[in-house]
Amino acid sequence: MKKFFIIIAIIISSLLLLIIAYSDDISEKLTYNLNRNLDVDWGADHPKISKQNMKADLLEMSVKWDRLKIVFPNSESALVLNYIKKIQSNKCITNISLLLNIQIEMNCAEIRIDYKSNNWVKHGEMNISSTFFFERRVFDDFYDKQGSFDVKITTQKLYLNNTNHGQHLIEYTFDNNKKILATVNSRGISLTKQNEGLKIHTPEKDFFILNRNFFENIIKMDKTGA
Amino acid sequence: MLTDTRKISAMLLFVVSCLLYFTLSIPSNSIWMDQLKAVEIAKDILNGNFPLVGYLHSNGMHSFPAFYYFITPLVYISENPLFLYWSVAFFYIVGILLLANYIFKKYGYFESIIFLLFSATHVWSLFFSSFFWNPNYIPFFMCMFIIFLSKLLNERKSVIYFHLSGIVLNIIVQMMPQTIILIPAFIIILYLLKKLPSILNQIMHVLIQIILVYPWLHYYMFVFNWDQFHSKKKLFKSFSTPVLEYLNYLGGWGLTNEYRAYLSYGTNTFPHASIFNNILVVSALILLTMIVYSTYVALRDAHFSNILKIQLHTINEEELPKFKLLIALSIINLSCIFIFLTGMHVHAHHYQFLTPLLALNFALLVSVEKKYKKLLISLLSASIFIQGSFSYWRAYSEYTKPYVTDIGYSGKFTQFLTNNCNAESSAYILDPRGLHFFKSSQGSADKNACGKLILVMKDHYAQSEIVRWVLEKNYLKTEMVFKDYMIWSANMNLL
Repeated sequence: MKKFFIIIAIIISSLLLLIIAYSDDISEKLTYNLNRNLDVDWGADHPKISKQNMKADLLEMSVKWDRLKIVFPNSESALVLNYIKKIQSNKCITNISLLLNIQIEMNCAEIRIDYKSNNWVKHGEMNISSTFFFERRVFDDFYDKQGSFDVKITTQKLYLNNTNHGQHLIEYTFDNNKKILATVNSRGISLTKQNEGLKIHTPEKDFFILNRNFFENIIKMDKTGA
Repeated sequence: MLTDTRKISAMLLFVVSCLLYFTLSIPSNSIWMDQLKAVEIAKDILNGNFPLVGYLHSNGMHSFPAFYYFITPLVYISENPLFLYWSVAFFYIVGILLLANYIFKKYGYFESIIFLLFSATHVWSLFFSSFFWNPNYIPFFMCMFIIFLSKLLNERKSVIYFHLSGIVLNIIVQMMPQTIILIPAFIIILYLLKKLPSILNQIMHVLIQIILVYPWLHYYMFVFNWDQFHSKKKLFKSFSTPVLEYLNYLGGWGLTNEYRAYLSYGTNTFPHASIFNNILVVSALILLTMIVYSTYVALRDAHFSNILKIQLHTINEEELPKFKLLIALSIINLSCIFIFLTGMHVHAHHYQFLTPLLALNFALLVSVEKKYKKLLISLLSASIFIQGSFSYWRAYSEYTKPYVTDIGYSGKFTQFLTNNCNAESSAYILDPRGLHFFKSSQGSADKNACGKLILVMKDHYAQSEIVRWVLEKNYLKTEMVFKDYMIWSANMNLL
């Protein structure tokens, strides 16, 4: 049994030494793969990604870039994903820590988000979107990809539709497969997936983005007067 | 004579409690594409068209045909959904009674009682038995398999039971392909307990198996165009899902959700969902502890001189058949590890082969384990109490709060609509998922012009602020009610 553990320890140590010895080559390969994957054109309905000087570093467990721009398709659909037009981040470094939950810490000089206008219908303390609808798969896909992540984003400048809102610290994590808990400059926000759609709770107001059925049968009908 | 009376009384009590559950719950069950398609295929068979395969599974492969040939005589008698749903319940009751009778004769009255109690209360077993679907006849065939397996292990001239067990296994696998794990488990049991028949019988049995699945093989070898095959689903889901679904099958908490995959709907537990959820989790943990202990007890007296050679150090001959069966049941249960390790895409209904197996496993455990007998009986009683309480509460709740789309209430609501509204009226259902068209009225011109009626369950109204918003913005509540539904309308004359 003792021999068995010694062999295992030797194998693991050798692997680690190999990784350290070839870390530059591996980082280069990772950088190449990352850039190649982001360059793939998934078609007109998918976001287009462009980047400048993106590099991965294995030993630092980090990814850096000078500019990363995600342009969302200019679709007429009322799906909530079409709310955002563009996200651009400049001079960023992202560090990844592999703890129980994967921790991602992103520091940027600047983040710019452009979004479309949204009309809200007031119902008591609740504001219901009359422009966009929500689909569960959007939330479920996000959960599949980041369900076990703790994400922390710091930016010196946050531009929303070209207006600078200054320094921001945004943190988010999944409470469970139905709820995201987030803080924006220490203001608590929660996003809860419900059968009816997505509920967004903020300290001041609650917002609701209806599912497609409610949106098409209630909001659209109201608009057309049917 | 006295024992016979006790046995018959216990069995009658089982039948009465099951009948109570099914009478309350079957009419409030839903019907979807799989059920309608099954009836269509059975009608095809009655018309002389014999299909080689069944409908498409979600992974893009066709199902095996045994289920459709099995239900054809039932569809011949009646294609009424209520009759077909009751047939599943009937086979469940018959299967459990046959096995209980066998347990009574072979192992004793006490074991038989435990088996019946567990079977009359287990949440998922009762639910699936009230529903017409391919895998839901499996508990009946599993009861038959256990009887044949027990005879095979304990009787001298047992080769016939080898063939019968194998044939029943084939039917089970055809009804739910994930149960293919039962085949290696069966072979391991026979090998370890030295019950493999002669080579001639083994070859003969392989031929029987091929003949039974030949229609499906023929279809995929000679008829199916593989160029057009597109797999629609990954077989791998995750490593945690099969374990969680196994625990869910033990405890039954998946049935506390109203909307869930492969259920169409579960149970409207509002506003007690978390309470039910928690107590069913407790029940699952109790049962899991008992299963682990049962596996330990089964293998405690087995001595492996090498991995393929087993010897039983049982104290007396009387206990030997119980231990042999307990080992066999433990091996079958342990075969679920294969599902866990492969991270297979499974849900609670894939574990239905465990239905009579778990009940018998626990019955044998409390019978053979003398040291902790009282503790084990207490734990099992607690779990049976929790399972039974939820099952029968659920059945009653389904009876008092059915959906208008349910097989036993859809026709009744149509009649209600016809009696109250003229032909220009139509009914919509509003629930937390949205607004759905349901039915147009066939009522005569002298009835009310109800216009667009909105049916809302009282619980949905109470729990959903969006439902309340939609109603209060556009409609007014009428005096009409149907079961637990409120009926709203845009027509002021109805108020």
